[in-house]
Amino acid sequence: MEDSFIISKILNEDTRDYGFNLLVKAYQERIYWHVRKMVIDHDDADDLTQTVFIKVWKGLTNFRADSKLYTWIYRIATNECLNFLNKKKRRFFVPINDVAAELSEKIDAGDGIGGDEIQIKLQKAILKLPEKQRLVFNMKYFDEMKFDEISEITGTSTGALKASYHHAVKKIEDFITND
Amino acid sequence: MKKINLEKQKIAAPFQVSEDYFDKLESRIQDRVRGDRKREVYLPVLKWATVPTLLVIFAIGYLIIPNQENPSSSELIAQLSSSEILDYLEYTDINEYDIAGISGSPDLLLDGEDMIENIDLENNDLDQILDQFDLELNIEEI
Repeated sequence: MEDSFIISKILNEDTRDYGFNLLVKAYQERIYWHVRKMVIDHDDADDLTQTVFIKVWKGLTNFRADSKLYTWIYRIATNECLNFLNKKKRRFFVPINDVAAELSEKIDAGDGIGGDEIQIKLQKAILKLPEKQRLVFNMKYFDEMKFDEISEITGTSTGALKASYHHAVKKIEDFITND
Repeated sequence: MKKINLEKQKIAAPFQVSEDYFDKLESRIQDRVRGDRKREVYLPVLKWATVPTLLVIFAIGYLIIPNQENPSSSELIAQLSSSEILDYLEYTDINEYDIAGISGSPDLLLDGEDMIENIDLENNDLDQILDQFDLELNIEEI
């Protein structure tokens, strides 16, 4: 389904509901996995994904035809993830390392986690990164987005993103090799 | 462990969901959007009804039970911020008719515009009431 078709339905008040249904179908899986990789826990990812689409629904009337649906939805999802993790830190007055440790424990607990040893190690290594670097790594490595697209979503220059990504790759490789 | 090269080696994420998860997620998203629409219909009415109802409850509580040591329900309600009250109302089945049911003048309460017009308050008085009850009301909306 082309984004342009979905946008044309969304921008017409008479077909907005239909357009939103198409949008949910087209994006729910991608957004869920994007969120899940950031918050690790399925229930949290489930709740946040629904919240993202509620916000998308509420924002449809202000959506501009010249915007990219793809980057707009990802930006909302990304902000929701970062807000969620920040709230977690504020609520328990814990430093980021402790939030990462909590998320790492969820991986160990194994609820909704499969995969082999290397897959688990990779996730634990990713959790050692700062949140925004984690976000960049996930979008580039797993979602195979272009740096231009990540730049539109995060508002960071492509140069900074490339540096951040390559630094993240090195840190993760070192962690997995030396652990 | 032997050195890995992430640029050459693709390692998948280990997360899993049940097979029918995304079918169910789609309908749950639609349900939440429908619920959100209903709230959009009711909330403006409740917003108008909540503030004067709380004032009436507080006034009745103050007149009838002035010297009780235990805080009255009206005093407890007065300690809540408007956002807490709105959050509560959002997640309960209470509607404007329920609120009107406990009011002494339900017809007046259900007709928000007349009620507001009948309240003769100076801006200073209104500010004082809003400060007293920690109510975050957008004056421009009035």
